[in-house]
Amino acid sequence: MILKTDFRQKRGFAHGLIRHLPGHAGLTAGCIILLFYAILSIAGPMIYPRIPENLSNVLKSPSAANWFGTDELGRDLLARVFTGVRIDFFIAVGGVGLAYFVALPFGLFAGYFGGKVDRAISVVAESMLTFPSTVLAIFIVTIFGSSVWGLLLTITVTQSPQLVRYIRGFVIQIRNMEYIEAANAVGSRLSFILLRHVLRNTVGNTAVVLSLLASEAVLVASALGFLGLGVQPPTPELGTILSRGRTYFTIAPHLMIFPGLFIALLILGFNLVGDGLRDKIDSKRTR
Amino acid sequence: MANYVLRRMIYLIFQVFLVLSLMFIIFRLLPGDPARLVLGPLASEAEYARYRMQMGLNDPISVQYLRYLQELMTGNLGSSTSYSQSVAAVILPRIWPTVRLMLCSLGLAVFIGVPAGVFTGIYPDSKVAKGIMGLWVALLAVPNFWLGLLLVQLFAVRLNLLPSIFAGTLLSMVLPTLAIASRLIALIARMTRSAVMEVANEDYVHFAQAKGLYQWAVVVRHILRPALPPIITMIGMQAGYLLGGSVVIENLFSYPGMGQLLLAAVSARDYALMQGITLFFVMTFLLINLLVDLLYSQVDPRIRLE
Repeated sequence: MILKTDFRQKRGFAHGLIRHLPGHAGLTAGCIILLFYAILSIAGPMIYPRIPENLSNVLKSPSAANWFGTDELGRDLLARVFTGVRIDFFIAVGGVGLAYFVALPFGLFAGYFGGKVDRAISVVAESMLTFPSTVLAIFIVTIFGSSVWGLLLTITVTQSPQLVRYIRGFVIQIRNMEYIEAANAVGSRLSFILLRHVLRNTVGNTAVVLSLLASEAVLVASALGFLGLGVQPPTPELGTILSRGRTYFTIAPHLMIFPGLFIALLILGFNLVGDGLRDKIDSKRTR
Repeated sequence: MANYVLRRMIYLIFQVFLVLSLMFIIFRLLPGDPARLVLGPLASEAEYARYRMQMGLNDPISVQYLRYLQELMTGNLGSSTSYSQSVAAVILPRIWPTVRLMLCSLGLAVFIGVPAGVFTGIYPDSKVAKGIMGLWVALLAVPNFWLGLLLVQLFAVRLNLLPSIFAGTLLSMVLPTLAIASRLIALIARMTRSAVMEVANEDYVHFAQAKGLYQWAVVVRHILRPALPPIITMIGMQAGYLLGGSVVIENLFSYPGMGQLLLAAVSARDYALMQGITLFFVMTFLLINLLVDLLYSQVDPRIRLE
């Protein structure tokens, strides 16, 4: 009997998430938005046709042929924006994902061992956090260069210290639990305790943080693009499209509206998922 | 209290030292030769060499680092290569505009965010409150530079009400302030709402209402007062956003502040100027956080500073 219930509970986090989705409007909406972006990023070039630049067709308003209009070089803005979505989504998800792998060992060790290890890791993380993330990103991106990979690494470097701090906090909450003590008492190996008991119990909270950091990553990447320091043209990063179109906004407002809208929607998606997950975790705890 | 402030100041100086050292290393990793950037592509090799010699760029990094620290101790921030002036002279006139922009944004955010948060916290089920909460979710998703562009389109281009770039007048402060404040308004309002909801059902609130106190007095004295610490913490946490936002928004509105200067310094590889600006950003950030901690203990007497 006991074995049976145990087995049922093993279905895990993802299953619980999907089952509970309909109960939370914000989380559902956020998941749909992110799914939409994921599909657009993966299948993008298959969905929309590639239309070459056409200098006789410059700055046209949205029409049946060009749903989002055309840009200053006569390129179809829809194709530009959808490619841009792909790039921003990749930078945000890849950058934050990589940051997770960088931050995880530091956060785990700092939180679990405390003492000198903790102090050394925390001091470095804290001093990097005394920078506004935009300012730090401006410095870092000049080192790594303004390519897509350069931006991805910039996101990794700017978001890692925050992640270290969060993971450390989550681990400290768990460190003194009785089951950790029990695992120690029966002689479990350290790696086993860290991976099986500590890491697993930080996953929920970390998912919330990752989602919110990804939303910040989109903001930083597109802000750099807007300042002209991000991914360089002709690669269509959304912020870069906005920055390039600035001169023409009075005569062609669609150049401003569509790229911005797709940045905002992506940030909204990550925010809704992050907030929704937090609500789910909180309600589970109080129940 | 004085003891606490003193210890915090010492720690603050240590942190600034650490960050400046980190920056020194990062800046030396930046690609690009300052000699070429300053003298232009037309100068001769000998001129480049003389410039590097003058600026001490040929010395080992450790020597440059020690020299930098030595200068810093005497209060000398070095001289800017792109402005041919001392860094302090370049930075000083730019500090107040940026601080003014930050204060205006923060003031506006508190002025709108706190009342809106109190309202949505006291009447959480009303339709208006739900609408306002939806607005915050939308505002948090809008990047400040896009909001700035939209505001310029609406108020400057279409309606012709406000100037689209900063011109030194109070009127031209409105759009940059709004663009920076929007996110803060949403965050402060949401934080205020949850803090208010937490205390709104406490016995002492019901008692204050039962004894016939005016509604506003109940709200201000018994609901808002205990809700202040989390709001102040939120403001401290967003100090970084305020400073970072100033870079983007100053660029958008041609606002003559530290953010603009930072971009100029980075593109000119002006190491000394970049270090000076970094010092300003880091000091401001740390001082805001110190201030927040001090305020915290004033607002909530249960908290003792150690």
